[in-house]
Amino acid sequence: MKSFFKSAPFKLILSVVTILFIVFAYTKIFPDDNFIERGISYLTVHFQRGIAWVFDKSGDYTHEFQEKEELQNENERLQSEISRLRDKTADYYDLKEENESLKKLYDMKDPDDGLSFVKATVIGKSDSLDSGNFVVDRGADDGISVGDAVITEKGFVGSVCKVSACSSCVRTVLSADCKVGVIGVESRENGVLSGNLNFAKDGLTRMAFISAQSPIKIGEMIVTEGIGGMYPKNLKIGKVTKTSYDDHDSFYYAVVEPFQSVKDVKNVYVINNFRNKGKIEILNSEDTEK
Amino acid sequence: MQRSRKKIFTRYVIYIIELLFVFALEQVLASRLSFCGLYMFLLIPVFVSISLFERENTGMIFGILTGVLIDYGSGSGIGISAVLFCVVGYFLGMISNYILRANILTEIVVSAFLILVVYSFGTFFSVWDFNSFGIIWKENFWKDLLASVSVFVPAFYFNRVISYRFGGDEEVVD
Repeated sequence: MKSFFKSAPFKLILSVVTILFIVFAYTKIFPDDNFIERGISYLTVHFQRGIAWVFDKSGDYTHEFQEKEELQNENERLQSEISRLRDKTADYYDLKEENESLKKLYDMKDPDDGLSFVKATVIGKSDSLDSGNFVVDRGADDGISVGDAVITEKGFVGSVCKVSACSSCVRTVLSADCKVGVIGVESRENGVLSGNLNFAKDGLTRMAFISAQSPIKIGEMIVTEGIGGMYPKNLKIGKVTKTSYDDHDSFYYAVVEPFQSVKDVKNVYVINNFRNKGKIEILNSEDTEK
Repeated sequence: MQRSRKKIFTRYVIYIIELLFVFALEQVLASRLSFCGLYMFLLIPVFVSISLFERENTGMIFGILTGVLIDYGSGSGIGISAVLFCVVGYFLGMISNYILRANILTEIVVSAFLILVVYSFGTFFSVWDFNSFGIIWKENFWKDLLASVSVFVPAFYFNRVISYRFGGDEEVVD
């Protein structure tokens, strides 16, 4: 037994393990800017892009053979949604005209959001949980940084939680670590968007810390608040499906169904800059009284 | 001797490309199969089959590479899985050369055990809650393990062919 601890193989394993622990400490101290992850990122991202391209092309090809009935049902659903939106459009043009004339009257300038995007493709998943956190093929070399909002045409999907040279990890709205300030567009009820494993497996998330007498309604749209300077304002997130009370953590919450299903995401846009990034909006006393 | 060195070098290059490709495939499959909640562990069976057909030191090196890729893919600091797989690779290489035979049963048993360990630790350190860990483990582990089994046999026979075609486990002697 003693001779084993003095043997060359044991010394070799011990020295290799020591080096690996040093590497672990180094990557923990410098999580976003270390040469090891940068090197691995350069090596693996091209393989991932290629495989993701093959999968997406074959998916597009098989999609053409989709069931006729499925397409007909989707067509009917979209027709009824178009009809509902047309009814709202009539009011929209009136309000828009009124808004333009009021702006001229009070000499108000249009807010210039100054949004800039980086288009990215989903090339992997970063864990095996239902929270759906994924990896995209753009990183620090493309101007992306930790905390940048990630969206699709349908809505807000999550935010960047880790950045390498050529890839980034995105924490989705289904994740329990996601903490986004949100607001209901009609009720103006504030809350914090935070995922939960029980809801994540159904593709849902939660708007937590709403008031007990919350005026929030079923079907109301939830958007980003944008006060903290972390994310742009009014990024669409989802709609409320029900409200409830969490006995374990003792708060009221609304269940939110995201407009963009996290599990179907393939192409995203990362907002790497916007007008009020990093600036905290100070509310007037009149706004808080409302 | 030159032919032997060239064969060994070719074999190692094929293993490295194989590991990188399988890692990329595992990541992309995980995102594309998320609609049915599946996560296939592809790297571990490939690493086990490589270690079974190589000696201790080679098993250790490819264990380090596998562990580094797993750590990089999970987003945690690089090193912890590398330590585990380094030690496992060393002992697998030793055991398969002196004690056990490198056969498909060994591959299946060792791969399943490693997947169990990696899955359990990875899930627990993601949720930090025994209750949630138990729910996730009960609902997802067997599904993910069965999906990963599809790779055990192809990985074993592919690496056996590479090992035999490019010189097996010859030592280079000057």
